[in-house]
Amino acid sequence: MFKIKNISMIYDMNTDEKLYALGGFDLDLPDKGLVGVIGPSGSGKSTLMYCMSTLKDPTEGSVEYNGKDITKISGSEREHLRRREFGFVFQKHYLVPYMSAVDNVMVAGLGKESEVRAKAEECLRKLGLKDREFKKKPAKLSGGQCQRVAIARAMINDPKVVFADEPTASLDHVNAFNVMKILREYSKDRLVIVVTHDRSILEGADMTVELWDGNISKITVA
Amino acid sequence: MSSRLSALKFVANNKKSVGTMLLAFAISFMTIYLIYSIVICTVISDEVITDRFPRYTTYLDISDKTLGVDRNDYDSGDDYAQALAEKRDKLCEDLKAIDGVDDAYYTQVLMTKYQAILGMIGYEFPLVDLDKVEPYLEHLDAELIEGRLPEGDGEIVVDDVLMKNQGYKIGDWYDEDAYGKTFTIVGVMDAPYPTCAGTPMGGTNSGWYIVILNDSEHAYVEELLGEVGIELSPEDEYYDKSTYDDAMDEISGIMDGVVLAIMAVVMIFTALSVIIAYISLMRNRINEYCLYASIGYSRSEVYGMMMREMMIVIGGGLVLGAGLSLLGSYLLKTCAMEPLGLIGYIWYGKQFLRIVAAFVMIMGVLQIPVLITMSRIKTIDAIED
Repeated sequence: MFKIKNISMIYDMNTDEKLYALGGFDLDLPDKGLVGVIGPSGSGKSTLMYCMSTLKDPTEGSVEYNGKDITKISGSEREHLRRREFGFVFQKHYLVPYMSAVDNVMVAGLGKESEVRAKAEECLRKLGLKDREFKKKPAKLSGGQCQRVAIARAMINDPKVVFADEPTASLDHVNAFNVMKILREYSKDRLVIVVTHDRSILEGADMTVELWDGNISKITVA
Repeated sequence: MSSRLSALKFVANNKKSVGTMLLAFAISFMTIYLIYSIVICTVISDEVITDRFPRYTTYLDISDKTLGVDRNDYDSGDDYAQALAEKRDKLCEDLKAIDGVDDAYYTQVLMTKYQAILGMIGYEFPLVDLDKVEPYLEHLDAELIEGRLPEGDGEIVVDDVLMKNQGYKIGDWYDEDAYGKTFTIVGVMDAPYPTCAGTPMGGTNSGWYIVILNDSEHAYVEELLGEVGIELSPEDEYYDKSTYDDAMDEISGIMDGVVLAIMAVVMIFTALSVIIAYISLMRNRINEYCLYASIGYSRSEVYGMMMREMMIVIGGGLVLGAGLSLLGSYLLKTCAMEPLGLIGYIWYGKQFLRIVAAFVMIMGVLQIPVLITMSRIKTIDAIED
């Protein structure tokens, strides 16, 4: 699904000491499965995820998605991809504070209002939220519940790829385990890319990409 | 691609802040509209007087020079006064001879006052000899509806609207004279405009004029004097259709200026407060906009949502403001204007359109915080870097 060629990302291009977030490497990812991108802070794992999801443009190299270099596509094509084919779980959940849990999920949905609502409620139920919590606003939900709402928002359109950046960072072990269980379940039919520095949550991953200083140090395929 | 960026979600979930802004617009609308109602009430009420007054009577204070009398030609003051009186009487006779002039006489006048909500309108009415009271009222098409006509010196009849306006009752003292002389109200009449008619009293400080009882076709003093072969000089003073029209234009211009100035001040304050509120509101929502951009919404969709929210706030303010304005205007009319015998309406279309235009302008000004916010929208990767 993804073919990454010679990808590099340089910050502070105009200074003498260039900062390489990505050092120029190739990477192929499967069409489905749970892929973990692991590495310490500053290793370039989030940058890689942003480049793959069209949020950032690499300085050099290409990111082919289904045979098309998505670093060269127009703004509206990127929006189309992010809206229809990708789902996002960010480090912070970025829920809209004045909207209820179900509205926060629906905001990303496509299609008829009634269908999207039913789908959003189904997603939230699958993720373990109770019906009475659907109308609660983020301030009234726990960190784990907020993260599950964010995951439901990422999955509402059945995206082909879910990008999850440190999805368990703000969760306790139980909640972290549950979130990863959901993502693992989803990865049976789709591609889920989880960026993390916590190796323990990637247990059972189909593929693990280890980054160090912007370069791949190890790839493990289960 | 369908958009779920509904403006109603924000409105429904932020009733307090949306309601505050909506109310700010509504109150501004109502303030401007009611100030206009009050100011324009003075103009409309004044218009009735300035339009109708000269159709019935015109006043002339003619100079010695125009009458052809020179003080130096006379040894004594009495001779001089006698000569002036003769010239004036002759002029009055000549004016009476004009078709369209019922009468003309040199007589004392008294000031009346007509109280508007803002300010007061003052104008003269003649004090005529007893035998001229009835013909004068006939000329005015006025009808006695209560009390009696003057039967002695210093008695007056007052139009019913003016009675209401000033809160007079029959038997009240009408004390406009600086010498402390008082006139007594003996009757109420229904006249075409709020005025009085009465008989003089000796030793007052009232002014003297040639009062011409003309019809509406002969409401210009200069033309009337032209017909009797007299050319007016700058020393002559007169009050006729032209002077009242000029006065009305001036009053309308001043009042319009006052209304526009008040409107500008209120609108500037409204615009500033709403802009500040909007900047703060949008700053608090920047992460929300960034989320939308990250999950695939286009900038135009985000902008569209912002505009729809703005239109709900401003449109709601307009509707609520219009409702409050009409209610306020109705209360003003029934509780303040009508009891004073003043003329006022509930609906002022021109002012309504002006306020709508001002709101549209505010909407234009609000594009500044919107565009600043738009320029700050990034995708979440930029926030998390």
